[in-house]
Amino acid sequence: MLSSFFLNPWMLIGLSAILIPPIIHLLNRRRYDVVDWGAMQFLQVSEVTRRRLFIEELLLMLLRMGLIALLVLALAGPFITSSVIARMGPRGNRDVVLVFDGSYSMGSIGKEGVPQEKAKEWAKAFVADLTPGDSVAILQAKEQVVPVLAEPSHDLERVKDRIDKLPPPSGGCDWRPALQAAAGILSRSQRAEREIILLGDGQRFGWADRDSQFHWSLLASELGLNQTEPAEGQIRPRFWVVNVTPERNVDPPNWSLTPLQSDRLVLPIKKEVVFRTAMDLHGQKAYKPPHRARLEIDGKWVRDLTVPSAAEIQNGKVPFSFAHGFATTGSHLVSVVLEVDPPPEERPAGYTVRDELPGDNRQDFAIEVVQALPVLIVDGETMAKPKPGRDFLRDALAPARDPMPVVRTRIVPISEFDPALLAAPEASKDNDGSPRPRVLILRNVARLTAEQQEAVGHFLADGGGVLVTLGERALADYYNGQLYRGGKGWLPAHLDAMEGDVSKPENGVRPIPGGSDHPALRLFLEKPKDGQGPARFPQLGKVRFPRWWKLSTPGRHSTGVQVAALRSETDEYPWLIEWIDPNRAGRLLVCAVPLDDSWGGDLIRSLAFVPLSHELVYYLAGARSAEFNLEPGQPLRYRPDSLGTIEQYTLQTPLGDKKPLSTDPANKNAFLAAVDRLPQGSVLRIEGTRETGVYRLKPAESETIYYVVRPKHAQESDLTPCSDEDRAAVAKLIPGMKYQNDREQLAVEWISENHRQELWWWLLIGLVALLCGEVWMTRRIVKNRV
Amino acid sequence: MPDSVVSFDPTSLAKYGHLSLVARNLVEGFLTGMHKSPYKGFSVEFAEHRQYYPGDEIRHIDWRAYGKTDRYYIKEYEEETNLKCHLLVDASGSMAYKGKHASKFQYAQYIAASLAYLMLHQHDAVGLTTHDTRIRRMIAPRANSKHLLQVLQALEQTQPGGETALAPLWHQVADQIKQRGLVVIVSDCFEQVEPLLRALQHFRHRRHEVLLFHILAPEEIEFPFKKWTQFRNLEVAGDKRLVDPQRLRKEYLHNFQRFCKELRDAAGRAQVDYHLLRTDEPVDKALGVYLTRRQRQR
Repeated sequence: MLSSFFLNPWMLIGLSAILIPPIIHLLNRRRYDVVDWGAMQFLQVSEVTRRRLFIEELLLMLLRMGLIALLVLALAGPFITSSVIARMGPRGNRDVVLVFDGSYSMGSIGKEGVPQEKAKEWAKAFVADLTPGDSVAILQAKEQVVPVLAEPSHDLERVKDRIDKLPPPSGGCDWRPALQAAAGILSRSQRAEREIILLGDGQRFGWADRDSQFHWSLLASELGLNQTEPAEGQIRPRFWVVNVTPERNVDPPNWSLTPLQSDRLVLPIKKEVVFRTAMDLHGQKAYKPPHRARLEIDGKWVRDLTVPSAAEIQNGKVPFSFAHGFATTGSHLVSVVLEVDPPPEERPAGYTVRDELPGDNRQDFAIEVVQALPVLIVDGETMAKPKPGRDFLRDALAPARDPMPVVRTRIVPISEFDPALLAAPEASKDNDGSPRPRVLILRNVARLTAEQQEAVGHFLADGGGVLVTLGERALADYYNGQLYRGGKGWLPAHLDAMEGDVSKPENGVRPIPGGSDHPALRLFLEKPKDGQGPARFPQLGKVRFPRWWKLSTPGRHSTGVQVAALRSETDEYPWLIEWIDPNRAGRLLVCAVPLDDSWGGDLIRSLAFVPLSHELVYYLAGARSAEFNLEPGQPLRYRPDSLGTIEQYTLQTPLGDKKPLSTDPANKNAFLAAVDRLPQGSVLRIEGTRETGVYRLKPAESETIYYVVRPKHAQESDLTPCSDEDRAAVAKLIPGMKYQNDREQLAVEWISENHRQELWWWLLIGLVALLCGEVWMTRRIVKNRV
Repeated sequence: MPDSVVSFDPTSLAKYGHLSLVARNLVEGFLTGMHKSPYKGFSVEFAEHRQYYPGDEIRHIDWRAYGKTDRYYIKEYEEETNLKCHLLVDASGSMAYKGKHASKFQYAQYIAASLAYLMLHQHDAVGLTTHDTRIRRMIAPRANSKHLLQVLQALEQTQPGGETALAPLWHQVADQIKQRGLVVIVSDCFEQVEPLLRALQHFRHRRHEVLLFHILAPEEIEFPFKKWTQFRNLEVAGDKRLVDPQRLRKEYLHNFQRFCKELRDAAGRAQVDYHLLRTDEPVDKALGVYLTRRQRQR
C-alpha cells in the first residue's frame, strides 16, 4: 500500500514529470536547422569523443530525471514505520492537537487540585519538551468546539501563551465534534507523526456513559478508525488520553442545580410566575440544607430563597420552587445561585467541604415581561362589530372592566384582515402604529385569501403564535386543500367531518381530565405536579361540547401532534393539535371546537374558560420568547420593531467580552452579526454561541436583552471517574487510543510505538547532491563547447 | 597593398551584370588605384595578313607583300606573352556551400574571372580548367583578347556538383600542361592533405609556379551553429548527420584547424604559394596576391 509509505501519495503523479528531460531532448532533436554542408569530413568525431559525448548526455539527462524524481518523492512525504530506525535517526517532527476538556467539571476544587489548572501545567510542560519544527493546535471541547489555536503553530511560546489564556470551564463537554475538528486539522498535516492528546479529568459522564459510547462508535466510523487499514492516502492520528486528576475519589461530593424552568416564557407585568428547579446531590448520603440559595434578577441579588429544611433525596434530587413577579417590562434574567458551603472564613475547624464543584451551582433563565400581550383576533363573521357581551373570547382575554388587562386584543373581520396587521411597524407603511401582534387567532374563519394565507405563513416563520378555532363556517375542502395540503401546509390537521348534534348535548364530548401534560394545560390537571402553585382549574374536565370537528393527523411524517383530546361515550377525538415546525420558529394550535357559544358548548360558562384562554395565548406567544433560552450553537435572535444601526448594539458574552456588533467579518473589534430581512420585519442574528451562560445584548435605546445558553446535559455534575472497564470500552471503540498520564512515559511510547520516520530530508540531501552534480556537469559541458 | 585601395564587394557587383562586367569593374577599379602597369616586356609575333582598308595605319602596310602582289596588305600580329597561366577552379559539390555570403564557387568564379581579366589586360595568356572528380572543361591558355569571353563563359556555365577527388585530377592536369607557367588553383581542398601534397609537388616538378587560393566560408572556419542541425553532404546525396553543434564545435574546430595547418605546411614544403581566402573578404585580396607574386618574379 503506497499510503503506508507516503503522506501525499497523490503527489506521486508528479513522477511522470521525469519524462520531461527525454521529451525535451527528443523535441530538440525534432526541431533542427538543415544546412547543406561541404566540410563533412570534419564532423567526424573520434570514437572516444563520441562515447564521451554520449555518456555526458546520458548522465546529464539521468541527473535531471533524478532531480525531478527526488523532488516529487520528497513532496510525496515518504516515511517508514520502524521503531529501530526511530532510535537510530533523529526524532521526526510531529503535529499535535491538544484537546482540553472544557466542561465545568474541570473547575472542581477537590483535594487533587483544579483539573483545568493541572491540564494547563501538563500541557505547558509537554510543549516545552517538543522540538523545533513540531507544531501544536489547541481546541477546547465544550458543548461546541472552541478553537483556541485553530491552525497548528510552530511558535511554541505562542502555544504556551494560548494555553495560559484558555477559556474557563463551563457547560458540558462533547468530545466527538472536538475530535472531528482535531482530525480535520491533522488531515491537512504534512507530517507522518500526528498526535491528538485529550486532556480531561477522567469523568465517566461524557466519556464512557451509554450515549458517549454511541458517539465514540459514530466517531470511529466517521474517521474510518474501524477499518483494518486506513483509507488510501490517509494517515491515522494517534489518540492519547491524559487524566490530569487520576487520584479523584470514586464519588466526590457535589451539589448542583437542575435547569430552572417556568411554564411561561412570556409574562404580564406584576403577575407572579412559578419557577422550578431541584438540588442534585452527588456523593451525599443524607440531605442537609445548603448554606444559602440566592435569587438574582438581572444579575442583582433580590432575596434568599427558602429551600426544604429536611427532605428525602429522591433519585438524588431535592426539588423546590418559588414564585416571582416583575415590576418592569422587557427582558429579565432570573438566576438561582446555590451556596452549599459557607465562605471559607465562616467555616468551623475541620469542616468537610460538601461541594467540590461550584461551577454547577447556578441556573439562569431568561423571561420576557410585557405590559399586555398584543393579540389579533380575526373573526370569520363578516360584520364589523360583534354584539355586545357576545364576544366571549375577547372578554375572557381582556375584560372591558379590567383597567390593566394582561392581553391587548384587536378584532377585525376576515374581510378586513390585512397582512400588514401582522408586520412590524417598520416593515409596513400601512401599519397604524399598533404593536406587532404576538398571537393571531383565526376564529371560525371560512377561508383566507392567498395573501392572507401567505401572511400567516410568514408570521409563523417569524416566531408568531397562531390559534385556529374551527366552527360552522370552516370549509373542510378549503382547509384541507389549501392550508393542510397533505401535510405540507402550515395547518397541522386534516378536517375529516363535523361530528355531534347541537340539539343533543348529552351525546357531546368532554376534555379528558388530566390527559395532557402540555405546558398550556398544566393548570387544568386534576392532580397538580410538584411546585405548580395552588391555583387549579379541574372544571375543564366537566365541560361538554355537543358538536365538534373530527380532526386527524394522517401519515408518519405529519406536522401535527395531538396535545389534548375529547372523549365521547365510545370514542376519543383530537381537541388541540399543535404544529411542529421543523425550524422551531412559531407555534400553532388547532382547536376542534369554537371558543364561543355557537355550537352550544358550556365552555364559556366554565371557570376554566378564562384561564384556558390566557394559557393558550401566552403559550403561543412564548414561541418567540423561547429564543432567549438556547442550546449551545443556536444563534441569538432579536426581533425589534425598529432595528436601527447595528453598530449601536453591544454584546457581552459569558466570558465577559463586551464588544459592539458589526456585519463586517473583517472587523476584529466587534462580534459578527447578520440581519435577516423577513416580510414581517428584520431579525438580528448572532451566530457562535459556543460558551454556555448568559449573553447580554444591549440595543442603543432600550434595556438589555438576556439570552441564556444552557448545557445540553445536567449529568456533567456527576464527577464519578471512569473505571478501568469504562476506559477499556472506549479504547476498544477507538482503535489505537491509549491512556497515558505520565508525560515522560508518553514520550517514550512515542518512540517505542511503530514510529513513522519521515524520509523527506534524506531526499532533500540527495536533491542538493544531484543539483550540484547537474550544475557541475552542465558547466563542464558548456566549458567544452567553447 | 593598402586595404583602402580596393574595398568593393564582388557579390554586390554581381547583381549588375555578368561575370565579364564584374571582372572588368573589379580589375579596372583595382588598376585605377594602382600606378601604371609596369609590365611592358612582351614580344610581338606575326599572325596573318589582311586586306588594307582606308583608315588603317600606313606603317602597318606590308610593303614586301605589296611588291610581290601589287596589293596593299596589312600585317597583323599576335601578342606574345612571357607567361602562361592555368586557372584550376574546383567545381565540386563542397564548393557550393553558401553561408551568409557568396558561395565558395561563386567566390572562386570572381577570383578566376578577375585574374583572367587582369592577366589578359596585361597580355599574359590565360587558360581555364574546371573540374570535380573529372575535368569538366579545359581551355588552353591564350593571350588573345577574345579569349577572355571564352573563359568567362566557361566559368559562368559551370555549376558546382559531384564529389571531390582533387589529387588524381591535379596529377592529370599536371601531365597535360607541357609548357611551364603559372598554375593558379582555386579550391577548398577538402581532401586528404598527403595526396594533395604529392599533386602539388607534381606541378612543381613540372617547374610550374603554383598559387593555391584556399577558399573557405567563415562558417566553415568558425562553426557558429547553436541549434541542433542536420548537415547534408553537398557531394554525396543522402549523407546527412544530425548533431548538436555546440557539443561538436570543439572537436570540429580542432579537426579543421589541424587540416588547414597541414595544408599550409604541405604547400610550404612544396614551395607553393598558399593563400587562405574567406568568402566574406573582398576578391581584390586575391588580385593583390597575384600581382605581388608577379612583381617578385620580375
